[in-house]
Amino acid sequence: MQSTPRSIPTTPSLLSTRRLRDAAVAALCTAGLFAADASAQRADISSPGGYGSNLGQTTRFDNEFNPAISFVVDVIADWVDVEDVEDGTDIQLRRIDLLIADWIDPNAYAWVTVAYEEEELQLDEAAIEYVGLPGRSTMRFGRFFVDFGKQMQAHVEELRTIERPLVLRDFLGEELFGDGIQYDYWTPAGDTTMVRFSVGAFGDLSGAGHAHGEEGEEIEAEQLVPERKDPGELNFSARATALTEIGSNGTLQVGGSGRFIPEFAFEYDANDIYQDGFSNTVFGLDGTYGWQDDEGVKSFTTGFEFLWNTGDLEGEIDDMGTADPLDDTLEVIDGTRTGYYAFVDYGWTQFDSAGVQYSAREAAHDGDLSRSELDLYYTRHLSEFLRLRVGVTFGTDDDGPDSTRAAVQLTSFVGPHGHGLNW
Amino acid sequence: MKTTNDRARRPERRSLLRGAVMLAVLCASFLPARAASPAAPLKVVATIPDLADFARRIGGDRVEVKALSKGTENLHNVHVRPSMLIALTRADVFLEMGLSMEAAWLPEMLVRSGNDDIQPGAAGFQNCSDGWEAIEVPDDLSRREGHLHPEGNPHFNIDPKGGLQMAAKVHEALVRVDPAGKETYDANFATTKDAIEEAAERWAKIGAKWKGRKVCVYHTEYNYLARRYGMDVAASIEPQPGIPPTPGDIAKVVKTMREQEVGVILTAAWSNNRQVKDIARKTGATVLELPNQVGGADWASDWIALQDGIHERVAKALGTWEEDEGSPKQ
Ligand SMILES: [Zn+2]
Repeated sequence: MQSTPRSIPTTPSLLSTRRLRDAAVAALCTAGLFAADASAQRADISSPGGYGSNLGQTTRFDNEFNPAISFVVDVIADWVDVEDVEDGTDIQLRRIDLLIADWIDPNAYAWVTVAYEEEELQLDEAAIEYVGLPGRSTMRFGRFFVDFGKQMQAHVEELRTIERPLVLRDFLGEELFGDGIQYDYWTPAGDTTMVRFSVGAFGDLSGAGHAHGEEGEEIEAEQLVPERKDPGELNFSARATALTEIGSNGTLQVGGSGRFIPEFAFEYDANDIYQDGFSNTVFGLDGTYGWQDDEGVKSFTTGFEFLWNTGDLEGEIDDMGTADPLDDTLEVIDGTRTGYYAFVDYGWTQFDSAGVQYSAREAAHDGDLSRSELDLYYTRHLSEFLRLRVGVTFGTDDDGPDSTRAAVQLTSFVGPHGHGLNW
Repeated sequence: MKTTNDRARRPERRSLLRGAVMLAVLCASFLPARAASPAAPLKVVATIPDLADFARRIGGDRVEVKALSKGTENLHNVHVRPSMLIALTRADVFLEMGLSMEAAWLPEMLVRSGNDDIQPGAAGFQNCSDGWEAIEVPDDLSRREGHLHPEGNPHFNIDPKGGLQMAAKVHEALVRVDPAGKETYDANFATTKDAIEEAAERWAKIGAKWKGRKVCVYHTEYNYLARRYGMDVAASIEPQPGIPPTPGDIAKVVKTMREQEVGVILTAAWSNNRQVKDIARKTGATVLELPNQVGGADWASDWIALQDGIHERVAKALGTWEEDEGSPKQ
């Protein structure tokens, strides 16, 4: 079990305040339970659905119940050489993530993440997690990252490499979040093994990165998941995973994940093409082994994730050799493509680690063509909240130019910041 | 050319299957997490072995105790493992040091344990720093002032007076959760208190010779010990708790140590001891690597042994040790 830097809003610096605050919230909610009107529609002039007016709640202009606010700034300076295409350096504010989080009541907390990337603001997450179910079950509602494999739950700047592994980007998207509901459950199997699974239903899991194809390839039709659908056509996610301890210093995890889109359409605006009745599924199998010495100083992690992308993969537009879009036709490619990533990572102090990662995948339009990326990276934590990373990526592509990228990434975590479980 | 409206409906079998799976899962999650038997020992989970030691001493046969940390690692950054979550989900009593000591790795585990009996505010949850007067409480909460000790120094398990605080809090929690065992807990607490007080007398004699002596620390985990005996912590190698020193910080520490003739550096195994050795070489100081929890060395098997060992080693490093001063057990 590794830890990732985001999840429950716990913050060392505000912990004591938060505890007091938790107690205060609990007291208010209990009072509300007994004092609230039975009907949401009241005879007086207070807001519909509101609690009584004399419960000791603070006013709307009080800061007492402000949530925790934090942000991440991710800056990259890089040099890129795409063979026979372009080369040069750049410095770029890649991303800012603004996170707002707090407990709503003793049984639920909420968080919102707004990401600023490529001069655009995007709502990545806005969700409520309900932890008041009996046993070890939780429910999540709203917009959140899909529970797939070991990496899709995290923002890109939280990963061990500068970019998300190639196969995840191409099969699932740079980021994969959806509006939906997710049920989570875990159970012990003995004293050192645990099993966890989740099932999610979403409106649309077609992914932000899925619609646009790779540069330099044929024009692709856009994938559209219908807004209104039969319940069976909702998009689903599922993950089952088991974690166990190996010796007193090792942890082994294996998992299987699925992302299901039972119904979607291809659309090509220029020619008014719209065809539906397509479906796509991505399966993943992952394994991770982690080792840490008794002092928690030296660590070793190795892992892989193997993915199958199956069903309708891509809608290509054939321009019939003419410039006129009206005679263009849509060709949908179906089949199964595979891909994987594997990595080895070694930390020799609490602040220094280095690793190598390799990812490859078959091209959607032709399973005989593949693309790969080899990453070498070194990470130095200047403190827990300021991270410097140097990475080199070698890309090969049967279907396009090879590339090399050397990058320096500086990432800062500002404000309250907690470590969640990554399982 | 749009074909949106004449789309054929697909069989619903798959969604029915999914529904059945979800239902089965929901039913499974409502099963009781733990079959309660009155004869079963109380399950106590402590974040560090020091608290676990007191839980064993005071709980006796009525309790079954597990410590989450091994005792060797950085208390602020314990590697989370499946067995920890499993122990938490089954616990009747949970003991933490508090003062944000475990803030980086514990809170989400506590929530994910799904165990209502040990959540903050529940009877089974015990913050063992309640009522403890912390030193080094920051006036102003800012990351510029460091971030690992936002509520003050949490390492009071290294204070010779910290044992009584921990024992009292453990006793309080056990009596609260298991009132039927009060007689046992009271008796065992009295014995524990006597043992601590007896040991404290020999520690006081050893420490009395340290007044005014200067030491350097890496992290501030030995500051309670130093303060208790009027020692002067002339320099901390970490500029702020949890912040690794820059070359500039190290130069400053070296300068201070030379000027003030500081001869001993106290450090933990997980600290950045390459830098510590480098400073020692430049200043001629002795490096004393000490555990900061029970279990952090083979001689630190329980809390009294940990304190005995620390007192002996610090006294030897400072040149104040006399052979008859140690624990009669050794
Ligand atoms: Zn500390």
